[in-house]
Amino acid sequence: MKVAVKQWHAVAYWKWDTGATTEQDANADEDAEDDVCGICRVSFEGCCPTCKMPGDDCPLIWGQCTHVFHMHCLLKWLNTASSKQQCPMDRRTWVTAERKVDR
Amino acid sequence: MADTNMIPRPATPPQPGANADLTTTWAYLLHGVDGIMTRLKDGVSYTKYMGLYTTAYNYCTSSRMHGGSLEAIGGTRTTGANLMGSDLYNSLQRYFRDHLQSIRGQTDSLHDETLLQKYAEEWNRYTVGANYVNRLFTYLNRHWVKREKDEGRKNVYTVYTLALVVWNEEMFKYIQAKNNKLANAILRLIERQRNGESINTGLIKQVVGSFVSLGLDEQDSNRSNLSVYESAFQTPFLLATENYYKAESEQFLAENTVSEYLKKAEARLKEEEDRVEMYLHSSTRKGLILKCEDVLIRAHAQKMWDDFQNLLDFDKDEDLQRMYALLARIPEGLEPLRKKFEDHVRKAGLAAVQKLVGSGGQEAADQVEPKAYVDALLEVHRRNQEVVNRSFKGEAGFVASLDKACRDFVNTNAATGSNAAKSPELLARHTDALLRKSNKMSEEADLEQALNEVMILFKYLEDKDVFQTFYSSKLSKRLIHSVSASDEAEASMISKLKEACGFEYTNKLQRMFTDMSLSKDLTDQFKQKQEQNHGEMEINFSILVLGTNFWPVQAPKIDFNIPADILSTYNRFQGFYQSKHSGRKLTWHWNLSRNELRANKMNPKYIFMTSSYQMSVLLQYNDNDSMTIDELVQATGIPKDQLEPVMNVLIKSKVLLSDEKDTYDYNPNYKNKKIRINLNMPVKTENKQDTSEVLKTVDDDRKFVIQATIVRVMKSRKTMKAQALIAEVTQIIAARFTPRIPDIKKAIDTLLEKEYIERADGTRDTFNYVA
Repeated sequence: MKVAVKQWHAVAYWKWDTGATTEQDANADEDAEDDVCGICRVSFEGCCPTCKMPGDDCPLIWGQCTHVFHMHCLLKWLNTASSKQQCPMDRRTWVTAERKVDR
Repeated sequence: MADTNMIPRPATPPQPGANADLTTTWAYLLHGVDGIMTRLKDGVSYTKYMGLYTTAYNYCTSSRMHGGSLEAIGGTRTTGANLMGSDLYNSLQRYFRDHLQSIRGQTDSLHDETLLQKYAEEWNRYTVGANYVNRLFTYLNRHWVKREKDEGRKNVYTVYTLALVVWNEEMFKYIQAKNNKLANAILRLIERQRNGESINTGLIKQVVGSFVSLGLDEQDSNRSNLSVYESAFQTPFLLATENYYKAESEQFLAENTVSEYLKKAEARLKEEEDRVEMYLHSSTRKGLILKCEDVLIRAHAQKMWDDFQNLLDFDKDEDLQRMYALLARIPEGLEPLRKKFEDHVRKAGLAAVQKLVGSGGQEAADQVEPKAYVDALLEVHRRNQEVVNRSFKGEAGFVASLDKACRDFVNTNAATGSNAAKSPELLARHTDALLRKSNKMSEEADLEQALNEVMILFKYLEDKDVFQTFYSSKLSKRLIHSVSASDEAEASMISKLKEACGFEYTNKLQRMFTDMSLSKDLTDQFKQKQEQNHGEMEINFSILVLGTNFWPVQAPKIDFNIPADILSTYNRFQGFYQSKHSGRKLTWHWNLSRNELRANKMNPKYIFMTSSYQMSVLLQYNDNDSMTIDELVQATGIPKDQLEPVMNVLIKSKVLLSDEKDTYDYNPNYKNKKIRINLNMPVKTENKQDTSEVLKTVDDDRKFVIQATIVRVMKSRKTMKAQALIAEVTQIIAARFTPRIPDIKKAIDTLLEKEYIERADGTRDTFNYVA
């Protein structure tokens, strides 16, 4: 038949790559609890409560403890006295990690 | 005595000296006063007038030297001026009385118009004369009268007022005493005018004017009031009016239709208003109009109400306008009309849809064309809106009735049955059709108009969230498949929705557009980069990157085998995207993406527009001429159930042939008149599936909306009873949809479980907010 592809109009979703699922099927964990920010409980693809639009204006932040939050949410938490600069999930001192995207 | 006074004196008495006594002085003054009162047209010379004035003045001032020599009316007097003033005053009063008694006899034999003429004539002469006399006695007015009044004596007036008081007693009461002869004469004259004769309205104006002048405030004689006018004329006039119109309206209605009567009543009311203007005192207006409204409108309101439906049915605009204007005059007049109008509109709306559905029952209802449905509803709305604006002057109450009726029939009618989502769905589908490329609206303005009309119905939808969900699903399809007619029209529609329902409502819709333009930029950047690095691409690539949560599309869970032909492009773009937005990953929607293929070996070189699934199938035939379905599933990674519809389209279009079941062959003899062939047809079952999917989405969304609203309310109130909570939540949500109470209760249970709220100790129906 010898057909050749001349044009391709693709459609795709983007999601934050939270690292944990890099190797897994992208759809398998769609409803998992891991997909929400541990502070505001809004999905990572959504935005923190102070932002209106998700996207690069409301990015995520990765900690060395492997926990991921909306950056705005976490910074707000760290700025409170009671935080003692700890990760809200495991009480270890918060250290921002490089994004866990190993390509 | 009266006689002697009234005989015209041939010789003028000489002007008395400065210290002349009362008799001499009065003799001189009397002659002058009588001249003014009875023969004013002969004129009064300046010297004569000055002489009279000086004499009156002299008498009042000089008498001070005489000391208190005379006993006068009313108690002790300390100064002579008082006494002398009172002498003059009494003499004047006596004169006025004598004068009127001498002429009033002339009216005895007169009736009706002639009586009025005589009265008016005498009144005019009398008041003009009295006015001059008043000026002659300015000094008396200013000093003696003023002092008497200051000391609190009643029944002492300035000279002009005195003249009026005497007229009232001697003339007016004299004539009126005979069976209200004067007032009745006016009433009869007015009645003749009402019957259509032309009368001398100036005459009535004069006589009525005299009644007004005669009214004096008993507390303060400087001020006038309307006591005489009201008691002598207004009261009997209103009574006569009532009787007249009662009889007339009843008789008229017995012989004519309501429509005719409306005209009559309108004309009569106008006439009466003019009457006040023409010759009555303006204070009568209110009472007269009220009376007329009472007799002409209120008394027959029931008949008008009964006839209203009739007028509506036959669209008798003028009569409707008239009926509205008349009934609007009485406070309770319009309410029944509003009710009837509401019913009328509702029935019209239901009937219009019923006609559309026909008698086909449920099946026919499901088949209703969105456009026909929307047009039918709009037509009813438009027609009745016109009636409201034209016949009812856009009155708020009727607008409310129209709105209420529309809300009823837009949401529930023969086409919807008990399915509340049907109307929003049909409207959304209609809007979709309008905004698609396939819609051939010749003018942009027409499309805009059509969208505005959609908004009219949208306003009436109860479940706006259902519309929103359908709309966003349709919008996403338009955008993904690039079949939207114009960006401006889309933007215009969204701004309309935003205006109607706020930012929240259109947030997602707007976000889709942002994704569209972001994706366009992304495509451009990617292309540029590719050209720099690899030269011109073989494949014309474009991409739409969607933000999750905003697009109502689900990625299929399949393990699609990316064909080798596009794999390099795929990988390059993945790399490009990673470098641009690190931390994100892409999930590809193979079911939504589409391709163009060129068949190089065919003649002519057909171009197939395909979905990506079709592409991956057709690419298999580059290497094979015949494949079984299982081989295809294997090769493409598309599950069998999804692959079959894809194959069906290819078979139907004869690109592939299927001689045996589950075996598909390449068709070497493919022919088509067109070079470009669109194989990317939507699968038929989609619509049905859509609807149930959308409704499921709506249900899920509603649960969250209800829960969120409860939490918001509880957060601000802290403690609330269940009943009040449900009421408030219902009210807040009503702008989006009508929540069902069981749903709210369920949401409360969920929140109790999640410990957002708790039951207050020892109660069953009071909740506390848990911070």
